[in-house]
Amino acid sequence: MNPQPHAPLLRCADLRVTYRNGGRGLRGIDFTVQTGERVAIIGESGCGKSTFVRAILGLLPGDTRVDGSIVFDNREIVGARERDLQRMRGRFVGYVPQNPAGAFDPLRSVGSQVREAWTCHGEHISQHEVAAALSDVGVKAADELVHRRPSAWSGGMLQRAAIVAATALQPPIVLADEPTSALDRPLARQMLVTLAARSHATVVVTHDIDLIADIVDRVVVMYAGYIVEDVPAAAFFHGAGHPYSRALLAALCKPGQLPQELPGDPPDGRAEITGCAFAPRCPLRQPVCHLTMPAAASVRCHFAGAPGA
Amino acid sequence: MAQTRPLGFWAGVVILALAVVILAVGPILYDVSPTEQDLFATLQPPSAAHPLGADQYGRDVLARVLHGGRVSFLAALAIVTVSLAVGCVAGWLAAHQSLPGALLSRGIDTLLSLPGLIVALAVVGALGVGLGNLLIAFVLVGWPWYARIVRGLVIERRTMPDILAARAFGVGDIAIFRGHILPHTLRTLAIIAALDLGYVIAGLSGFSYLGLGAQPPAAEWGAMLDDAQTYFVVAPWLLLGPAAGIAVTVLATTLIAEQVHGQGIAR
Repeated sequence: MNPQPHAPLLRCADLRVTYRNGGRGLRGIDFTVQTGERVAIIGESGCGKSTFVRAILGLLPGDTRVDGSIVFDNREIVGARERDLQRMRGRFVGYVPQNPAGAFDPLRSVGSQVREAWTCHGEHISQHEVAAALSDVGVKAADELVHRRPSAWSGGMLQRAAIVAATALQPPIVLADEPTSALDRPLARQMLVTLAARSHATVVVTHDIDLIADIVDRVVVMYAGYIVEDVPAAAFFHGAGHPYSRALLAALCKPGQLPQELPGDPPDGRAEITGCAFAPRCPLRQPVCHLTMPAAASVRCHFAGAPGA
Repeated sequence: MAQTRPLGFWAGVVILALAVVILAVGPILYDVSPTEQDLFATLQPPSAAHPLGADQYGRDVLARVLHGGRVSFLAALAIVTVSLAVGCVAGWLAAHQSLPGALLSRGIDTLLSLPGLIVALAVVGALGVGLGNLLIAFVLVGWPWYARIVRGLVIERRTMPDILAARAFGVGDIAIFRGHILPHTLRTLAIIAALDLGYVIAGLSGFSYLGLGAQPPAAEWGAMLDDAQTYFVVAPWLLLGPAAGIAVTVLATTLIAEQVHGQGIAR
């Protein structure tokens, strides 16, 4: 591990994922993460966020077709052998699961499972050291809790345990798939701060856009398997460029204001998309939007920069 | 009422446990040779000297029932254990989403579509008569059942979020199976193995009855029934011991089976 100063840590090029049933998870993703960057991926359910995370981890179902390239620290992940992928997971890329209650085997003590994050890579760690690591992130009475099964843990504590396991070997990049969706808001915020403190580069998939505003450097908006916007966080929150991003922000709850619902549904995964994927729901659509896909850019819209709707 | 199991289940468990204790301790307490012949006692009815009578060579039937039961139980236990072990590994391999996994899976289906006892008969015919070959035949017929069950359990568990998380932490395939999948299948497999035990004991006795299993002078329930049948008219009591042994063990496992069937396996 000796990344060159400006070489991206992770580079995805024209990444396409097709499930066995013909559904397209991803329709051509270009994405890079630099060392130390914190990136948020947002978008509604089914837009391909989780598929993207699993593709990077090499954890898509075995009968899923992955095209394009995912290069991580000069290693191509697409088509790599399972043995190599397994060595990479945990050591080079960490993963914080979505639902802390479901992320641990209910029949085994949490401590033994957190410990596995070290031992599966041949690193030795005592149960006591695991407890100490858990205490560091705010797990109370960790010495006693490590011997208990997940049912004896609270959701917040389990998510902390998951963060410890994901960052056990200090991987240069950590992917978190909706790490806060099962937690209440103050706890969710705390968790994101903990995660950010324990990892170098972080990619967080989330629905809680407002919670991450001051934690991340970059916001990536996904829609129907495409990245439609990829801009610095400050720019995003001060005036998102893509009509879909603006619709997402408008759908947030704000004091004194009703959230605005975005009408319509995203396109079916099996549908062939020729023009802009968002065109059928877009308030700014023009005939050209139905005909050609906008060129890849930080804001993937024919009318990027045009006055908002 | 889901928590309480009906009387039948416990009756089955108690009967099975009693049978195991009797077969384990019996031959020690009742120290009579099962193969020693006493030609003055041939076909004797039950008496103080021979509680279950004596067979056509004057051998003590009780001693033969106890020793024969040990053979039946140990043989069945060996068959179930080996089938289970082979089935676990094969089921895990068959669950892999790859060409070898798919081929293995279809192979298992093919084996399951063949009538088990007839295949076992063919295997014994090919390998030769004897208890050892009978064990091999039963394992060959038995393992695909376990493989099929394990494969299903692996596929069911594989997509669970805790498995995904463990894999994402870098835990390897084998460790996932051993540490995160197998413990979840143990209860189901233990129940199925217990049921299989009764089925295998009955099957072994059937083969020995046909003369394809334990060979004389070794005692075995099925083989004893075969002998006793010859003298049924003059010494009907010879049938009692081995017949009761088979009936009771099969009854016990069936009682457990009925209950498990009613409640759904491994709730």
